[in-house]
Amino acid sequence: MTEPVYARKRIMGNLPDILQLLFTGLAVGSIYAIIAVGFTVIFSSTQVVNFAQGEFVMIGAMVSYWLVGAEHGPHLPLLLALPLAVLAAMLVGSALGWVLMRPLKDASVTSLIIITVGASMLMHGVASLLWGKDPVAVAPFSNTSGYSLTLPAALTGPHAYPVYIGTQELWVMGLAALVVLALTFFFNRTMIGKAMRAVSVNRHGARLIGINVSRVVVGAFALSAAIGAIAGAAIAPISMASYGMGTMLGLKGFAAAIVGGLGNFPGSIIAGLLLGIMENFSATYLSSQYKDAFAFIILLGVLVISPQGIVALFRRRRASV
Amino acid sequence: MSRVRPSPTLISVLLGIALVALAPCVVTNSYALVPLTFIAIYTILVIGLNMLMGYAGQVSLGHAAFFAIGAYTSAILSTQYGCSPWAAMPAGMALAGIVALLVGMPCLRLRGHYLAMATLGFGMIVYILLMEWPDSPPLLLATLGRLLHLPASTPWPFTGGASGLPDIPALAIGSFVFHTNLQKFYLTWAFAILALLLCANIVNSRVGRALRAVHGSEAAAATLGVNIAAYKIHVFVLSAILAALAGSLYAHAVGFISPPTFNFIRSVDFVVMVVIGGMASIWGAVLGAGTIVLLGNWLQDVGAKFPRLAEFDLIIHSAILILVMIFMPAGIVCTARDAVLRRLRGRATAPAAAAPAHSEEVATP
Amino acid sequence: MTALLDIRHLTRAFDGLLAVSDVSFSIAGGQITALIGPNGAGKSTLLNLVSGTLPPTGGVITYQGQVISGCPPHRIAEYGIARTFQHVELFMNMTAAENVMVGRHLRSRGTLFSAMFRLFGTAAEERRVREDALRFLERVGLREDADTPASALPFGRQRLLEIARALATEPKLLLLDEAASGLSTREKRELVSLIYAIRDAGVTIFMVDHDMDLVMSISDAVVVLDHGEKIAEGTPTAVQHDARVIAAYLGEEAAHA
Ligand SMILES: Nc1ncnc2c1ncn2[C@@H]1O[C@H](COP(=O)(O)OP(=O)(O)OP(=O)(O)O)[C@@H](O)[C@H]1O
Ligand SMILES: [Mg+2]
Repeated sequence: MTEPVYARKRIMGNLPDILQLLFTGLAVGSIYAIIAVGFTVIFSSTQVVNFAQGEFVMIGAMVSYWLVGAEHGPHLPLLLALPLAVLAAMLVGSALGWVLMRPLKDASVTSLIIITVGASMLMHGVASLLWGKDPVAVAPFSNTSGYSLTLPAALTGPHAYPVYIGTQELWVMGLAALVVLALTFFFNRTMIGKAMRAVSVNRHGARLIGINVSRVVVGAFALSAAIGAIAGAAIAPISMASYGMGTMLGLKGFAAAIVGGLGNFPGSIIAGLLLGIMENFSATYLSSQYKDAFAFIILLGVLVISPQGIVALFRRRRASV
Repeated sequence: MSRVRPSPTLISVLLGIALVALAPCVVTNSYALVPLTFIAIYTILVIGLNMLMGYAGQVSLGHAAFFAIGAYTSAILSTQYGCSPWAAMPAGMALAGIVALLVGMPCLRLRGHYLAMATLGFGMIVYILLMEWPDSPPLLLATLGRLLHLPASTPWPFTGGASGLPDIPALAIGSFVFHTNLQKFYLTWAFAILALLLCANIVNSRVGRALRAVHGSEAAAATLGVNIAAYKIHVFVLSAILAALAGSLYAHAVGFISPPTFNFIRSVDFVVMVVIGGMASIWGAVLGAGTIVLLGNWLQDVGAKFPRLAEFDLIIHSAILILVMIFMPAGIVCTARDAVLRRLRGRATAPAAAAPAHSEEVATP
Repeated sequence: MTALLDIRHLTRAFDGLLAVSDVSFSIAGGQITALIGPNGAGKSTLLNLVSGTLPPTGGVITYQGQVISGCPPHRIAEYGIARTFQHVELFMNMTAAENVMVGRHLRSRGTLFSAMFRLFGTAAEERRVREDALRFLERVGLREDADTPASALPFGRQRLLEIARALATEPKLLLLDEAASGLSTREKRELVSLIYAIRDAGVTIFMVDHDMDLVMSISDAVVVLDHGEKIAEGTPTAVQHDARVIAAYLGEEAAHA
């Protein structure tokens, strides 16, 4: 009879820990989610799996760092730097979209993959030249660092830690929500957004009804780059910024995009959030060394065990193109 | 054309043997043989990747992981379990083949580029494993070992983490050990030429033809009875086995391995080698591997004088990758060859009839 | 004559568009059956469903008593069904002979392994496959083009090459999707005698075509599709006088005018 009570106590005693992990996991997960959404934007309008997505995140982080806090930078206010960083990423994104135009017409998926991988390496290399290889600390968006939330002792037992609610984490989640809302509006209410959806459903038909497909492709890359840059600028104060940060973040966002079903908007958001949370918990309760492997094990597991289940949606759309 | 005549493959192989045999007469500095040995090793890997990309139309972004499986299996078995390198080598190849089968089977049954994604994830996992492999068996495995009555002295395989594994024995035949740079040069090139020969045999066979057909039109190939998914898996497994062979040769030739040799960037480098040599061109593998190895060497030399320049390594590789992919998707070799042929024929032949538009009916099988 | 191929309630939807909608009919062995209908009627889609190039979204296809719907295309090829494509799908990276040699895929057995090591019999099989291929090229009159790249052949010969490649699988049922379209009058005449020769060799033919004169003159039975639905079926004469068929085609002409 005593066993269950004991177990219950332990869980309750861990409640602050669990809430804490949930909170920080949700913040990281929001980042994965918007990176995954960035993948989805490009994939659904061009069928390109953009392996350079993570570099947009890096550009967002590094450029906003340089504009705001770097020693030899211009020390701009954040409110000005953030749009500039997004703009920089959009320029790079459009350039990539433009470069991909020709292989896109030849419909050679292999070259598309290779070119985006090459572009990713190129941005990586250029960033390491511009900003060096050392990670830099980035100032958070606001000065208040966070709030301690003490749970009622009745729930947790006497000596529990408070849950720490970091302001930057709140920023991250808020921005992620904003991005999702803005995108929903964009795709459902604006002409360009609708054109992009049309291209994703039927490229040929879209061209017939007078949509400029090239402009849509470049637009998709620019949009996706903007999303990535926002993610990068928001996460940098939590994770630090470095020329190489894009690789891991990009790959994890990518894992989320696949787990959620490539091309599936809500799917990638949910998968991103779950991935962030699960990663956080597994790092604490299973093994912190393998934290980074975790996302890939999930990715591989999904691909190996039930790819159909997850890609079903995408396949149905694919069949109609 | 069933009359007997020397096949192009045979001529190429003989030419290759002659070149390799004579190379040390030209390259008299034995240090200069080291990069040539690396070219042979990478050639072996790139041939497999080349067939995967050129014939199966799939990209692997994790071939460094199969390279690692070959290298670490060889190193661990021969240093920690007292195996002969000759037994360790096929063990690594078999392991890589099995792993490739497990990773590739589900992804290659679907159309699209799931393999690129899966191999990318797989490469990351292997890299992290190499870095973080525990020094002693985790409790669960130790218990299992005790339950299975494994002798307590059974060594736990050890990867050395970030510092790697030193003192890997060189390959030897009887008491003849491949020690010197020259000996290693000949040994690795013998393997490379053998691999080239075997793969060239595939291209001109029933299976090779089927693969080229898939490249031409998947829909048509399938309706002629070609089991596309099965062949893609075969080629992927073969490429993993070749990568493991290359890895094993690398471990025994260099004598020391550590994780950075097997990271994601290395996987991309292998793709660059394929692209330079030209996809679906077995012999291009030598050129691709050669270009990247020699370029890397040159950058290192230059880097010694101008340290800043060495950082351009990544930029140069990726720029090559993008430019070749956009302007010479057939690879440098084929593009150059076609240009020469066109010059020779003096535009005698009109450009081939434009390929008719591909049917939109081709859909997911 | 027994039914060789039986199609029941066959349906294929593309995002809500029913390209083939609840179609049922059967094809008798040894005959030439034609499938006609206005543009976009769903003829090619139906052929894709039979050859497995597309999976159906509903219905059943039975071939010689075995259900083949849902099988992958390479399995359906093993059953003895071969096809050509409306938009020529040749292996443009290969010669004419090599194209047909791929058609011999199911009639040879070399593996990756045997090829690598040139195991016993590999060379002999390779020689045999090539000789077979030349024989099939001969049958369609392309013997002298054997070593020409497929991409360099004129359009009419590309169509013939596709037929030779399909024949090389030694099918029992041959599906032709507009094999005559784009051919000159003379080429069409030659095609007709080729089709007769194939039929006389015991191969059942199921063909789609737009050339009414050609269809009506050579087919034993005709099936008519319109907007994905079967609107008529019967002998050429019966179909020609069917009110719904006339309406469908008149409607098309009215739309074109
Ligand atoms: N892969 C596809 N995705 C979406 N719609 C398709 C696809 N293939 C065909 N369709 C549509 O299905 C309908 C039937 O097409 P199908 O090609 O079968 O017609 P058809 O009778 O062969 O016409 P044609 O005489 O022009 O060859 C058309 O409306 C076409 O747009
Ligand atoms: Mg058609």
